[in-house]
Amino acid sequence: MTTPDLEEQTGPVPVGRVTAWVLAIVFAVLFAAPLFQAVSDLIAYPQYVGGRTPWWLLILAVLAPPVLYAAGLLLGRGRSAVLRTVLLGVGLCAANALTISGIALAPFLLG
Amino acid sequence: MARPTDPAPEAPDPDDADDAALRWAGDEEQGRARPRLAASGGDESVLSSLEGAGDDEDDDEQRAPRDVAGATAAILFGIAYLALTVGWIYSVQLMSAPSTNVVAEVVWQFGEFTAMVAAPLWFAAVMALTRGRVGRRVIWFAIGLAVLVPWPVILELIG
Repeated sequence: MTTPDLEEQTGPVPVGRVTAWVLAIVFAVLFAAPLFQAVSDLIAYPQYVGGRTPWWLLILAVLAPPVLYAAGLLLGRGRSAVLRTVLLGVGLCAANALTISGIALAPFLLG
Repeated sequence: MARPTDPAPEAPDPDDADDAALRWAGDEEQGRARPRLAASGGDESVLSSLEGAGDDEDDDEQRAPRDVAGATAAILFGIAYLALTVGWIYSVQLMSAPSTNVVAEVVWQFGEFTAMVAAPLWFAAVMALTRGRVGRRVIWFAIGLAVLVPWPVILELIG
């Protein structure tokens, strides 16, 4: 197996400070969309369903985007710009998938 | 320090002393009787590659089961992630944008697209970032399976 050895020999090329900030800001904007959707649901849903609101699901949906964004930033530390972009992109995709799942699950949990 | 003119037959040869310092006890038994460090830079890579040949064979023998386990995990989880991707493609067709606003519609479509590519992207990222670490690979694959469940299509199938 030469691939892991090659990776260890060459090592990651740490991303520059400016690039890191640009990536962080761009993905912060992109992560704002699922976060906004989740906050909107958290505010609007109880007005429609009252006491049957699945609070845990709505709160999880709000927490997911910032948690995944932070995880992407943490896991991307010391890695190249490409890998950092991939990690933040995976987090963004997962955040959007979780948001859509939350929207689908909420009515189902009402019974 | 001995002068060059001194006979000093009992003084050790500097070359022998260097060779002794660069050997480990038991090297001869392992077929590595040469000094571990090459004297000249030009021969260093050749010597080190020759020297490491036996180690590589041992490493290959040790890595073989790990590689098989990693490949097996990749194949099994690859099938599961393919199912996730298909599930999300069906899921986004079941969902509709909650707002008729153009901007909200565009954002929703982008969100649906990212949800569809989430599973293959997660799979590729895990494969790229956990090379040679089967345990971590399996853990991250499992986390992805739990996170990326296509609930809309599952709920549709349930009823």
